[in-house]
Amino acid sequence: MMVNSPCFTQCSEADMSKLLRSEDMSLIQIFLSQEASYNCIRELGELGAVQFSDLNEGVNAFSRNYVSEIRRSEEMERRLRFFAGEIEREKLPVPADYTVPPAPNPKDLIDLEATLEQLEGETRQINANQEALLRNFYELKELKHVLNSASAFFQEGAAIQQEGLKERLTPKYDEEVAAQVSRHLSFLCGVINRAKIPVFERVLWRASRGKALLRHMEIEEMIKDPVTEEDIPKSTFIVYFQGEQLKMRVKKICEGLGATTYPCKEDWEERRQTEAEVDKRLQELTSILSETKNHRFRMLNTVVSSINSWIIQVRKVKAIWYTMNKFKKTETGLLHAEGWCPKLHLNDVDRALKRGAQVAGSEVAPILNTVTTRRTPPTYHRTNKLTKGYQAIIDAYGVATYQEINPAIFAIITFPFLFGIMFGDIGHGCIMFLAGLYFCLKENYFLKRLKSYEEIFLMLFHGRYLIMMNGLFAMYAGFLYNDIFSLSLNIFGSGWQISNFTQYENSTGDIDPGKTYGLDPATDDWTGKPYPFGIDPFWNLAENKLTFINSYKMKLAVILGLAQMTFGLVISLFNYKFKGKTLDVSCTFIPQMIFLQCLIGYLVFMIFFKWFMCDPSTPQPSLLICLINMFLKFGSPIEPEMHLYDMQLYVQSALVVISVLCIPWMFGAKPLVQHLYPRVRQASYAPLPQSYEQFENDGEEEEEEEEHGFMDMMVHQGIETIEFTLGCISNTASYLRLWALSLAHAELSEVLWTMIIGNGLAIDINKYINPIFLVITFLFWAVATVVILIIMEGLSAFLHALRLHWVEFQNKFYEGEGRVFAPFSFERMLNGADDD
Amino acid sequence: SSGINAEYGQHYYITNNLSTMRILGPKVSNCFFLLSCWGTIMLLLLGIFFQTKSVILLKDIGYDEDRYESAALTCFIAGGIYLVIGVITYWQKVVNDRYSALEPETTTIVF
Repeated sequence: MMVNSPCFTQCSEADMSKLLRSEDMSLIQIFLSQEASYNCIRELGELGAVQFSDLNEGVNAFSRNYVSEIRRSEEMERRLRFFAGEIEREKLPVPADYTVPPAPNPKDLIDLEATLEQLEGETRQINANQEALLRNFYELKELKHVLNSASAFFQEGAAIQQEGLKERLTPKYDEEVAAQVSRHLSFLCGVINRAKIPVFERVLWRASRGKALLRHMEIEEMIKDPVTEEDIPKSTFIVYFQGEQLKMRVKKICEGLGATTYPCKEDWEERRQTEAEVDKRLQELTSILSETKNHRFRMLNTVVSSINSWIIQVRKVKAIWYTMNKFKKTETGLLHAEGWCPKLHLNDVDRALKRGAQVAGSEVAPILNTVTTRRTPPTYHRTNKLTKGYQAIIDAYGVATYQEINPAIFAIITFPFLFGIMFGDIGHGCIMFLAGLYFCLKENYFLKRLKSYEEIFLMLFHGRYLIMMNGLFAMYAGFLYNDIFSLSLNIFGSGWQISNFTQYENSTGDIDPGKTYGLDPATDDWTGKPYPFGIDPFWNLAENKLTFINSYKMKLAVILGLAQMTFGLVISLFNYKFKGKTLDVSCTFIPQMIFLQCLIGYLVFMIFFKWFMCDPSTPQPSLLICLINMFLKFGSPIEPEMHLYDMQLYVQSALVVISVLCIPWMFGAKPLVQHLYPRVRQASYAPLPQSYEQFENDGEEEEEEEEHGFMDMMVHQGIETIEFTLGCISNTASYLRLWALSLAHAELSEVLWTMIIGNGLAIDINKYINPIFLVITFLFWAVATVVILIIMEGLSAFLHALRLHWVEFQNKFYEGEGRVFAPFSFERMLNGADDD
Repeated sequence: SSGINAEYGQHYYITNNLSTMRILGPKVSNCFFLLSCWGTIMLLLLGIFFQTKSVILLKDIGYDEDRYESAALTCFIAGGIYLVIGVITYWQKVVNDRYSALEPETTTIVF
């Protein structure tokens, strides 16, 4: 007992890191005074240690306490969106500023609100002014064009009067009108959209019964619409008609079709004067417009540098108000908050509350109470940047129940290891390792700019430690398989030799390249010195390479499968002991372990036995047939082809009997004991945790332990037994994917090498052209390797290794029915956590 | 033109000053730089392995032992070509970094 040791008393609870299980959580109650509440919650948001429960669950969103404050922050957000729209319209560059500002205190908040209101008002006014000025500007421009084309129109009109009618008039017009043309005509001129001219013509013709004449001319300059800033092609027109009634009709038609009319004098002098005035006015307007534009620009520039910071501040403020809406007002005028907090952060929460109250200048100190409860707390695993990725992939399948053993800590090593077994190439592993290493070393650069990347890149980036570890373990497996880009390294000297060359020589005494070479340990080819680490490089040249490697990898897969499944079962033992479920230990764990070892453990024993003890010169029994015959030919003596060792019959019979006895043990023992001795309390059938927020009182809910009937227990246990026994066989077979993927990877690698670089080296034209071919083929080979072998196979191996963890490993022990601890934290909110 | 004129220099593709001559863009130069690093190292090692007449490479040269030396020479020259490409892309990388350091970094407005 270390009670008297001085260093023990100095350790605080926070220093004891609990990797194995989730953190101890406690339910806390906080009582805050109204003035201090905003500041205290602000401090807690920066700390990020408390997950608040919603005490006003049934209350409508619109009738909560702080609805008006939320409305105000949404108004601020609306103003910020308006500014964002304006900035985008002007395409102003936003300087990158990656500092995260703290939430504003109440005084600064009011200032910010006022600033935003004032800026928005000014900006809107400038926009309105600009629009009016632009409209004026374009009208003047149109007038100028009308004046320009008026001269052309009038000359035409004079020509009509002077020269004669038949050549000028279009066939539409009457003889009568032609006679009247020589008399004085009224006219109206203006500007219309070019697209509407045919309609205009037709309507005029119908309305005037052919008595109006339309002439139009295109304006080359495109006129901008002041609101939408689009270019619209327009034309000037002039309508000749006679009489007041027609004039009113023509005016109405112009209005209806959106044509603007301008007053225009017939007299050339007056027109010139008007044109001069228009020019002067246009010049004035241009300078006013540019000034307005500059003013707007300057206005937006003052906003641009702080807009991202304001957005973050407003989001934080809104989050604070939403959180405060979860609290209840007590009769004494205090705010009552409830939530979950890890025990190790209790002191920090206390300090944060005191800090907040002090800043607010409130005399009433906030009260922090720990409440005992039987509700199940959320699961909180403390992670660092390495373990975060592994925890994420385990949590993706199911969050650990409160304080059950966390499989993520084992996955830190087992996951890359299984990945490596499936990926197994030094070269590819090296590339993957370097890629992961690059992201890990440059993580600060990327972390600051997280928001500007797409989803796929973000997924890759968040898994950078996984990629790096996977690459490292893939390199290790590559050394084991002795495979670098499908070639083998001969570091230590091979244990094989060619003892007899004559069988491979053809008639002339040269080596016949057509003859294939198979390795047989029974011949003199085997020197008896095994290759110290990894597969002998000579196997790469052998014809029976795949026969050997397949057998080896399959056996390796089964061995690893048994190891991981046994490990999973042992974890279940620790889980049972932690929760005090001794009945489960004796009625579930022990028969499961015995059953697994009797079957698959025996198979692995036979594998090792055959590897160590068998003589290669005679054919040896197939282990799978042995295993099958163990059950099918139970009791009959062992055939000579299946004979591995003496006493095999008795050992195998005993194993079969024991494993079959385990089944009713797994199936019936526990329900029987629970039925006969009901005092043995088991929480194993407790219902799933309900939603904790629904409870109205102060958290003294009890978890109901229903008394299931005997038959229910039998059925439940029966299902579990069947799952486990069938799972023993199917999960072991599932582990064979370790072999399958590594075979696929090795074969793909070999195909790429021989087909691409092999062909590149085989081209032997000229010693100057050869290197250029090699350069090009290397390029193709490199791209194919990265895309097919590293990315595609890497994703595939990642997925399969993950599946092996999620299903085959975790179904031996994992409950995974917890909910994740989601504290009120500004950092989590800004990085995109969506809880509410 | 001497020196780097931030406003106009971006659109100059051939300039008198080597350190501002931009032929390849940032993505291409980074990509090919990595590729040529890999190519140089790997082809040089492959050349060495051909020179030491390693058995594993026999099937790549068609089981003809006399082609070892020529294959080794091919690999070395190809490695040298990749080294040259690497140097060029590294120079372009440096030039591109200089240009992007001139522009202040901008982000988008994210809500």
